[in-house]
Amino acid sequence: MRKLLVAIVVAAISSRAEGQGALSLQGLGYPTGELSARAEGTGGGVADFDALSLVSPASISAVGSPALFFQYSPEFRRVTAGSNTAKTTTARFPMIAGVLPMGQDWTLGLSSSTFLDRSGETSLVTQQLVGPDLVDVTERNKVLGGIDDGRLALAWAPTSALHIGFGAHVFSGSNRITFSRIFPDSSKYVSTTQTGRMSFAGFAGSLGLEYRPSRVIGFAVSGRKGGDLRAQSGDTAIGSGRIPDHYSASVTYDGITGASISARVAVIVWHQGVRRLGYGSRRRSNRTQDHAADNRRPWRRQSSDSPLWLQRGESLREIIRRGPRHTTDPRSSEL
Amino acid sequence: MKLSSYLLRSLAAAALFTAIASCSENLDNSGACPILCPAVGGDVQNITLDAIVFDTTVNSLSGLGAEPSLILASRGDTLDTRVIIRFDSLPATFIPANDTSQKILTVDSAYIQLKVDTLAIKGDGPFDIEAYDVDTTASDTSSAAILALFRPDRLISTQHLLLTDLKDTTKYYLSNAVVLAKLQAGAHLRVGLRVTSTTSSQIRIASAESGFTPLLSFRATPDTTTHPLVVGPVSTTPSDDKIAASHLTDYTVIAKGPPPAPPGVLAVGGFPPRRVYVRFDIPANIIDSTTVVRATLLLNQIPNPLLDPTDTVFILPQVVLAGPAVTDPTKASQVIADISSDTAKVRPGDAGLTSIEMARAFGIWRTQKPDTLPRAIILKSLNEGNTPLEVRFSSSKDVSAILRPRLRISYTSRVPLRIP
Repeated sequence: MRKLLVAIVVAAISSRAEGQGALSLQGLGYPTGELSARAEGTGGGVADFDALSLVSPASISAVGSPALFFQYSPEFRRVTAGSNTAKTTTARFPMIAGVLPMGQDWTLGLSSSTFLDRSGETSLVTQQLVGPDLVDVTERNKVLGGIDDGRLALAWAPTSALHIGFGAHVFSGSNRITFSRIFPDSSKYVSTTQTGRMSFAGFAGSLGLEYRPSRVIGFAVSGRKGGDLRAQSGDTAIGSGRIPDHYSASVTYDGITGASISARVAVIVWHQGVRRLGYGSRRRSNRTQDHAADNRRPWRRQSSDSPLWLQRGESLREIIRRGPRHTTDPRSSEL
Repeated sequence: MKLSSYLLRSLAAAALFTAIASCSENLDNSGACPILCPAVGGDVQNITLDAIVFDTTVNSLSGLGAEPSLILASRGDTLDTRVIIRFDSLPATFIPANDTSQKILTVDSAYIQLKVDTLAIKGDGPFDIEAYDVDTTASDTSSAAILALFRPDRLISTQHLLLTDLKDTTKYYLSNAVVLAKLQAGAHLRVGLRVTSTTSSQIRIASAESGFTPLLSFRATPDTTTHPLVVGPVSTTPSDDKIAASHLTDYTVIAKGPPPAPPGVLAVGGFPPRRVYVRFDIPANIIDSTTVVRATLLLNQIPNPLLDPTDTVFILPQVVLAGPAVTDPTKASQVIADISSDTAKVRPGDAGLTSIEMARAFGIWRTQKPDTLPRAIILKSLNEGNTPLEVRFSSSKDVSAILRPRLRISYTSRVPLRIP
């Protein structure tokens, strides 16, 4: 009975893991977090110790046997605008990972995860004066694609207490963009469709360290240093930015039977270039997970006369967010 | 053990609760869309240009008899047309039922089967349709020579028809003796039809070009077990031009027509049918660098009250595909392609502004340079050759600049596709 009460309390105090807002469709997309289902389920608290998450390359040394991991994460979305509500279901396969121990001390890991996901379609009806007539014009902006993070990791465990890992990341992906203007009367008007494709390529390196001085407590730190991210349209380079740097530190305590308590602090340094490339906001509330958030409204559109891309290396002021948060549209008060 | 079961159930319930809560997102903001899905296409720009550099009226068809319809009309002083049908090849023999081929010695029940458009009949009747022998050695294209043969000594037969007698398939009976004499002599049977009535009358008959050929039918024997002979129209002249000969199997001769449009006036339709050829000079940046969403040719209609001024004429724009090597606008007006499935509906008696939508022509012009494909369209009647109705417009030579044709273009700039 006591455990039942505990379960109820756990359920009651757990905040809603509210997902990505539709504003994520802006920019390059939103970062899925590159966390495994286990890490997601614990709010990211065990991410630095989780071999299946693409956070710390040191963590793969704890697997112990060859493993292949495949994750399916459907997204259910409901958007309400006035009295209208729309529901969508998007099938996402954000992660695949393979781990291969090599001898006693070394472990090789090959993983691919969705770094930024940009799949969506918006439809907006505007009124335009076409000749003498005021007509409703429907603008449809459809984007499919994203950027994947492929990581080759090598972990070394000189002792059972110390694990060190290195990772080489390749970021690649594309966005297929279709922009349509649909006019109501095809006998008078010509509806138009433009299509475009942007491809992305970038590199990064990561380092992780995990230390367990005893069986009940462990510490982990990890970091990813981003390299250049380039965008091309066809054969033309249309801009460049930098892969965001990522740093995190965790502690885990397993001293209570049947429980594992973890805490983690993470900082993501979104460079100006990448911000302009379009970091969509990710807002996930959890007691133990902290994601850096850009308090300068990363979704803000650029003025028309400003370059879309980027000064390299200019980092934003970061804040660390913690604790539950109720999701609201931050722009509703700005409208 | 029991406690573990409770624990599992509790955890399952907690997980379910959390999962349900996690799988939904409610972005409740009625004002979100202007930011989440901002209008990126920009405003539509509207400009009106004096872009017409050349316009003229041209004949629409490639020769006498190319019309899809035969117009048999008697409309007072306005319109008088006759229909000519040529049976230059008649059979001299037939095969009776259960017998061998025999020479035709008698003709019975001779008639021409006509496909009549009953919805297009003008006048309440009754209609007296006279048939004349119009066989002649005169020039095939000489209307005067043909019209001169509509005289009493050439009369073959007369048929009195009420309005109700005119069906989709109407039998016009000929003199059996005339048909017999022609086939026995191996002569041409060329029939000229003329309608007379106490009131204005007009009958539209399908021509061979429409696929509904007038047919001559007669019996070579009274024995009804023998099928009647059916003969299609044939023209053996002009012998050196098979295409022209095929057109002349049946055709309309205009004895009297409405006066043509005065010089400097554009005319669409009429009989013989005409088209308007219009060539533009459009700034290259509009065609090449923008997306034209609407283009309208603005015409000033001049009333034409001569024939059925309140009837509707459907005007269809088509893009000219003839290259600059085709300098004759009449010939260029034959090399065309559709750009619109819709038509402009105008009445000949109306006056004022008429709008012709032609935006899809820009899609074709964008793919071709002006020195390869002139920016030209034609305007034609959807019922070209089927009706004598004619619509008139002011041309670019009109003394009043405000009445000249203009081109109104609505366009948008192309959107750079990038990160929003």
